[in-house]
Amino acid sequence: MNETPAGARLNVAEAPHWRDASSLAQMQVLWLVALSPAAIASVTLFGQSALRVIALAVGASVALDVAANRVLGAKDSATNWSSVTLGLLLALLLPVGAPWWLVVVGCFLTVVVGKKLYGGWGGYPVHPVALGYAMLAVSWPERLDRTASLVGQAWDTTMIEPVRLLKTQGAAAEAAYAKVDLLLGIQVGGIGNALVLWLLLGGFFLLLVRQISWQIPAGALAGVVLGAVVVRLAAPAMGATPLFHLLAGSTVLTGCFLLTEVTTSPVNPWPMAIYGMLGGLLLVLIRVFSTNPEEAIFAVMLANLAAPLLDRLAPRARGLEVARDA
Amino acid sequence: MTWSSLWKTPAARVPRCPEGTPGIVELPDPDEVVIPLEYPGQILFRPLVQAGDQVARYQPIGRSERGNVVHASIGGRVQEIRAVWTARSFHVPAVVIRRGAVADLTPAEVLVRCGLESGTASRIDAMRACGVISPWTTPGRNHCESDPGEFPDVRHLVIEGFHEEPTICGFEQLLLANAEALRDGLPRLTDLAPQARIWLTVRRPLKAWAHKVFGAAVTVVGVPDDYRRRLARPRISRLTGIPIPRTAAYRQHGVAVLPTEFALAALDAMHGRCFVRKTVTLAGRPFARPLTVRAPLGITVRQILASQGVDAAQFGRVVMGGPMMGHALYTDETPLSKFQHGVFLLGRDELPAEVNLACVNCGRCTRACPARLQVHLLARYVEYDQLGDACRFHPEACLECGLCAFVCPARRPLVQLVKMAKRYGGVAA
Ligand code: SF4
Ligand code: SF4
Repeated sequence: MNETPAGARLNVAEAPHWRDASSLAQMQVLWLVALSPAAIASVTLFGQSALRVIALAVGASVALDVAANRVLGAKDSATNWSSVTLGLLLALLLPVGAPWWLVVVGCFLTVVVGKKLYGGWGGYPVHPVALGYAMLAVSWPERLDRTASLVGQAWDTTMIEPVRLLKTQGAAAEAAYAKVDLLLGIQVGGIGNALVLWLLLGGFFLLLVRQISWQIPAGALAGVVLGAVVVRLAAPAMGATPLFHLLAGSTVLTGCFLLTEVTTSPVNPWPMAIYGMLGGLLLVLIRVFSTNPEEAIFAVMLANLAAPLLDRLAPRARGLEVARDA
Repeated sequence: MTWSSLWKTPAARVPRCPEGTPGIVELPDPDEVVIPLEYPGQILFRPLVQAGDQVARYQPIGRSERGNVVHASIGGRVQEIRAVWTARSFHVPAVVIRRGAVADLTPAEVLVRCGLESGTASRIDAMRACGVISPWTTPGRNHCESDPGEFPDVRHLVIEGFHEEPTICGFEQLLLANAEALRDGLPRLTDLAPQARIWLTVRRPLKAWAHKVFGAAVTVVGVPDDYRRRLARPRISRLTGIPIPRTAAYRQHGVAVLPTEFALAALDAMHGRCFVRKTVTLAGRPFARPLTVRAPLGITVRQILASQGVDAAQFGRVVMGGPMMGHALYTDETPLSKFQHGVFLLGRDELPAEVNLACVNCGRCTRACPARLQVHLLARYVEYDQLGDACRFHPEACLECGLCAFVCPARRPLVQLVKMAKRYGGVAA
């Protein structure tokens, strides 16, 4: 018997022998491309004070990621670019001119606590940015006051965060803002969370390059509209129009970038749609009925926690049918 | 990671079967052939020759329990019977024949050697004697020749005019070259299954042509070029309207599936011509377009490639089959058998990186899966040694199509993980 085969020694591996070109780094780079219109618009609007926060957040996130890898020895490598995206997303939520230490602490809470301690990208149960930002919001709420951060800005609109005015004045707040201004991001907000048009562009880009499934943003849209209609019917004094809810504050950021994060969202079509809807509904309800100004963050975290349960509504495997009798 | 790897997509380079005139290159007989006697889990032949015997082309050299036969594909002298690696990495006994000047057997002699008489032998027996394991008795991935049990009548006969894998063109080329012969011979095949509805599946661009040639006798079905839609099992279930469970053979449900190559071989066998030459499509790096050649069974991959001036040692991986479902060969001395239809070569720089990062739960695998498995969960259960839990997700429905791993951005070995659960489920049941 000839145990060792003659002939060329070849590389063996299991099929498939082709893979598409996707990689984790590619996913993150596409997300960065999608976020870039908002980031650029923000630097154009707010100049250096926005650029400083963005650069600091991205730099600190990457540095903390690398450092945490040294200490924790995680399999999640910084080369997958996920900390860059997390840093940028966090920066977009922060107010213009946030102090440096707040940015660094936020990055620590996002990257190290929110991501690394759960085992890295793929392991965390809630969006790390939502977790990090929520911890900042309960620790230093006054430092995150977006209305105060834009006191010096001379815009021809009501210089109060629309969502905040909604909480105090109810439906009447809607009249204080022109819809076009809201769409173009001429509204009091963070560095990039309210740059509606630019974020929408990014969201469409992600859909186009198939990084996100349409079910989540569509579900979120439906959820927001549903929430707004329900509120209008139940408490007319509080009920702004659905359009106002869609254009004000972080709604678009939430629907296109926060709820759609891959690790924390469901993977099956119907569960994704329901999850998006849940996120949108919670966003409106928290926005209207809670005094907390960070409705997006808490809506995202609650929806994230429901995601694994929703994924149990998966379709049945095909090809197990018992044939009809002949 | 390199910058170019962000955008380069191998899927964009999927080679297509040549359109229009077929070109099957006939290879001359090699100096030596190696003919396996066993297909594990499918069929086992007992040798009828021993080392030193002179054998003629078409002479039976192995016979199975049920009378299926394997033949010498060239004439010469039996060198030895030794173990070889087959394409699916089994170590099985095989007959090695060295080419020599021995006259071919005539069709009548072949029948006599199998204990049959020409004229009186039934068509099925004649087919078996000529090495065609007919669709009425065929063993395959889900069924072994020695399995007990009678099959129901054939209610659907599906003639496949293409192969699932995009780089395998032999079935289509044979259809183009032998369309009239197939059409004229078809009644003799369909006689064997008088109740059956006859289907012919072709790639969509050939549908109009096939309809013109085959007319009303068969139902011609055009299949789009998308790999997912080409996959045989779900397609044939849909076509025939019979929900065939993934774990059952088609025949257990009254469906016979016959690629054009085997249909033509069956027709030849009815005239006493043995099935000893097989088409195989060469594709991948050194071939601009898939090239279909025909060679004697038992020729090694090395000899096939050498005929085109290609040396396997220059390539990173040699795959028997196609890129999505083929088996990577351990050695290029692997012989060609009846159930192998293609050879696919990857350059050293084209090997897909198997980095096996942690799953990020993006769900692309699950959304790509034609069996609708929850691949993202299943694979993680297997990875964390919870095979029992993994089996709750019905891994036995997996088609082993490779789409889940194809799309995974973390480049996880998903097909292996699912197969592991499948195997374990088989053991546990
Ligand atoms: S190989 Fe993957 S995609 Fe194909 S059927 Fe199996 S689990 Fe689904
Ligand atoms: S495609 Fe890969 S990374 Fe995405 S869910 Fe499936 S196994 Fe996980």
